[in-house]
Amino acid sequence: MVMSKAPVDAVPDPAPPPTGTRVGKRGRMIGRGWVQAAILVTLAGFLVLGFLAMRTYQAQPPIPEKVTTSDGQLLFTGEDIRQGQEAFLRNGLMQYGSIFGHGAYLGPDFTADYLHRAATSVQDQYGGTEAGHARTVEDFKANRYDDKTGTLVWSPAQGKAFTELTAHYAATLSSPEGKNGLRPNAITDPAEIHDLTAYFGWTAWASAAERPSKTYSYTNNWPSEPLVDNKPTGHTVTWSVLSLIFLLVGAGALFAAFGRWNFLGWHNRDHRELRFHAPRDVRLTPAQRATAWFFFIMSGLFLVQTLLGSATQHYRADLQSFFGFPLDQWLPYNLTRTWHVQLSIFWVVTSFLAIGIFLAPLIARGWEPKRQALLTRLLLGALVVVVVGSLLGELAGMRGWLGPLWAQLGNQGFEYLDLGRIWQVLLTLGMGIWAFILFRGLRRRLRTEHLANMPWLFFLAALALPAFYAVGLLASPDSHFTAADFWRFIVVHLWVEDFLELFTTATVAYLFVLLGVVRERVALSVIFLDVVLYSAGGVIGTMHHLYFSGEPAEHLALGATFSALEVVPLLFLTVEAWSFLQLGARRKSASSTPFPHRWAVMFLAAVGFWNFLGAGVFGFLINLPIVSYYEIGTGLTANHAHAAMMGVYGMLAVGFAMFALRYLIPEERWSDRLASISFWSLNLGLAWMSFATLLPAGALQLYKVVDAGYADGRSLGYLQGGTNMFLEWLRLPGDVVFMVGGVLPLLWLSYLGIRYRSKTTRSPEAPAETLLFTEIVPDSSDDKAEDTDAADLVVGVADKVAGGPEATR
Amino acid sequence: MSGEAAFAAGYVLVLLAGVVALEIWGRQNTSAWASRVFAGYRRAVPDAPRPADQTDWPHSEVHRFHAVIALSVAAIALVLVAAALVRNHGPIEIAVLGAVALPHGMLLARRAPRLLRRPAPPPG
Repeated sequence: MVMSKAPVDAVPDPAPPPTGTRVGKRGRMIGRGWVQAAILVTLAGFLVLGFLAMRTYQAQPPIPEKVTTSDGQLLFTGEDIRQGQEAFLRNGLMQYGSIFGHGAYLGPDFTADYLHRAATSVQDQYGGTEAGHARTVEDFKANRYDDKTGTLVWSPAQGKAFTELTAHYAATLSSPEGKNGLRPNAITDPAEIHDLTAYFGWTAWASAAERPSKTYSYTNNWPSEPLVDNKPTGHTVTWSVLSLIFLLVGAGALFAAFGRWNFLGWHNRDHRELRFHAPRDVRLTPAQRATAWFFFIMSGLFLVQTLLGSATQHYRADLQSFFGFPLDQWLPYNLTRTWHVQLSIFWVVTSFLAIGIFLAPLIARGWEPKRQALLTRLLLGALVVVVVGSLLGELAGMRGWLGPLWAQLGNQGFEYLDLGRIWQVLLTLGMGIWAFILFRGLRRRLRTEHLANMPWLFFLAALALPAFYAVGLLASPDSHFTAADFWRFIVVHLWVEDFLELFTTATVAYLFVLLGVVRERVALSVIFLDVVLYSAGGVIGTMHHLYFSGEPAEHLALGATFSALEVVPLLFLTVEAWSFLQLGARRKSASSTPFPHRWAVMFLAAVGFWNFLGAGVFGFLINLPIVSYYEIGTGLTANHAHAAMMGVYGMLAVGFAMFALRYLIPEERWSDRLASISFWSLNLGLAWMSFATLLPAGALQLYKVVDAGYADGRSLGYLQGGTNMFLEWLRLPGDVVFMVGGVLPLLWLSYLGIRYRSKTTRSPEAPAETLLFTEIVPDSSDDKAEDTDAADLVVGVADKVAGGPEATR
Repeated sequence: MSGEAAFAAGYVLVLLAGVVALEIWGRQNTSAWASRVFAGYRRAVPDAPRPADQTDWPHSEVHRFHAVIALSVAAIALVLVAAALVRNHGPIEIAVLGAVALPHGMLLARRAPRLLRRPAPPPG
């Protein structure tokens, strides 16, 4: 690292604003091509997404008005199917098993389970494997739905199978002993059981019956089921191969382009010098102080989430009891998993909300409007109400305590969108209020900035969070499942993987700019590059979740192609991640105070690792349609989910907390050792979780599915088998390390943040260098230093040294 | 030899490949100015900075981070083998599982003390 000495009075005068900009307003700091490319790629992506949304409604499997047998017996009606879906969601069955492969992994996939059991019954009725196979295939593959009359006709054998399966689901879902992950006597109403069976039967029909004028089913022949000759389609195989080619070409083209052209605009040796202030010299604004409570609550929610995760995991290792305690009576699997999944979003979002509020005064050069802290505390209160209310609502909804209000106040039941509609609206509004708080704090700065500069990008990225979370409101329990799943994945995939990613990139880039480790122009280029790459792959790539849930084949083709391209930015950003820190060039601080954000930076670096491994490798492992065809809903999905969600967003959330806590906790109370223990324990615990259990158990389960069919591989019988149980128990040491070594130190540090945070707050007139630990002093040869946020701080420092006014404000 | 023991042995070999990959990954020069990917950048810059040294922070953490994860994977492999041996302990199973565990054990015994002795380089 190069040590450069520079006099603080060597700060160049601010450059005149570019032509065409209002005097006092900073012009665009990045080439127009970047902005045009970002807008065009995003618009193109959403245009195609809009087309796919339209096709979803056109091509989803029809819900018949009635289902009869060919000899005239009425089996069930369309209303029964809709009521069955509502019963499925109300009782939290999507957090127990799955439907069309989507949901939880302990219980069966009810689509595949019904199909397998019904096909077995029909084949037996036709005389067994030898005599009955062809007729069984014909019964299930022939599409006897008449869209003019709305009538679907099944064979008498299929009708008999329906009756048998009604009894089967009555026995399993209303079992008085429990011991299957659900609470004892979970669903006892015969009408509900009938409707549930009708719903499962309809999804099974859609998974085997051929689409009109096609040779494959509504679900692209998913699930794999030898009894009805359900095999991968030509589309599934072809687009798997093509998507691999797209991945190779895309990655090659991107790396070639970056090797050839200087996209990011790195120019020359960085002569700036970093100095670090003693933490006691840094003053926080009132709103920044208030975020201490956010981080404490974040850590508390994280702890509860991991405890619930361990209870959820225990069911996979031992269904009988929780070390002798009948946990299923009080906290059945579907409830612990619902809470575990919902809390994973809540605690991460809590950290993201807090870091936004924490950064706003830094971006606004120390200015904070009045009552910003009050609004922040009100937001925190609202967040607590939504979290507690929605979790209790989910318990009450599943127990049937809310009557007809179950979907509004209780649980809507869609995995990841489990919370009741009112809580969902309130959470969206809460994020909207957060965006308003950010706007209040940033508005003075925004007035002086071009729309394509970092302050606006930071705000717009924040604004996208409530906007795209709100899309989840289009999915409701009475929606057609295929359409509901489309909108659900706009939240699960697009909101998380694109817009949370965009806000993350903007936030991390801004942190690095403020800390002086990266130039604003470079950071801006990275943000635009992120927008272009993620929009190119991620928007349409959302469809990779929807290969087999009733969408037409074009969703599969486009989803496979574009989601393969999603790996390209992950590859690139991993290569580039470490160089993002200090531009990969040698530079040294002349400060005697050590760099204070070591562990925040380490958590951000861990994000790069898990982004590549968890999101990139483990994600791509299951992404190809031909792999997903067998793999969906197995342990390999859980492996990707944990390594990506915790590894990327979890580590980010903790990294943000570490950054802010370094300011909130007085120096004498701060413990680098606790931060270190938390960092290593979270990473080792996550690696253990993945490599000891999720990856090998998932691989074995995949083999079982390919070998014996999907229903067998997902059955409780398989999960309770010796080898799987052995692998499930192996997870225990890693989970203990994760919780005890990883989460508890974080909770303690965040407690110190509220217990010992300084009562002295920053006044609006306070000098700029008390904003951050870092002060950046440019060399006299520094080019365009006045363009950067860091330079703004530098100018403030120079003014103070010279005793003059803060000229830049 | 039981299917479970065969699977465990195979998976432990896969983990060994993972350990090696992590070690290699951790030894890469993370300085952008030394990367072939950014050759175009270097050509365009007359006053190119000296690439960061692997001992400079935060680049110094790259190797340490990957080494710790690699060793934890080796530890997982040993625990997996030990647990598999409790359930499958025929002579062939002991021989095969012992053989695949050996490289992990050697790696752990050789690298872990060295890693623990070497203090984490401070940022600055």
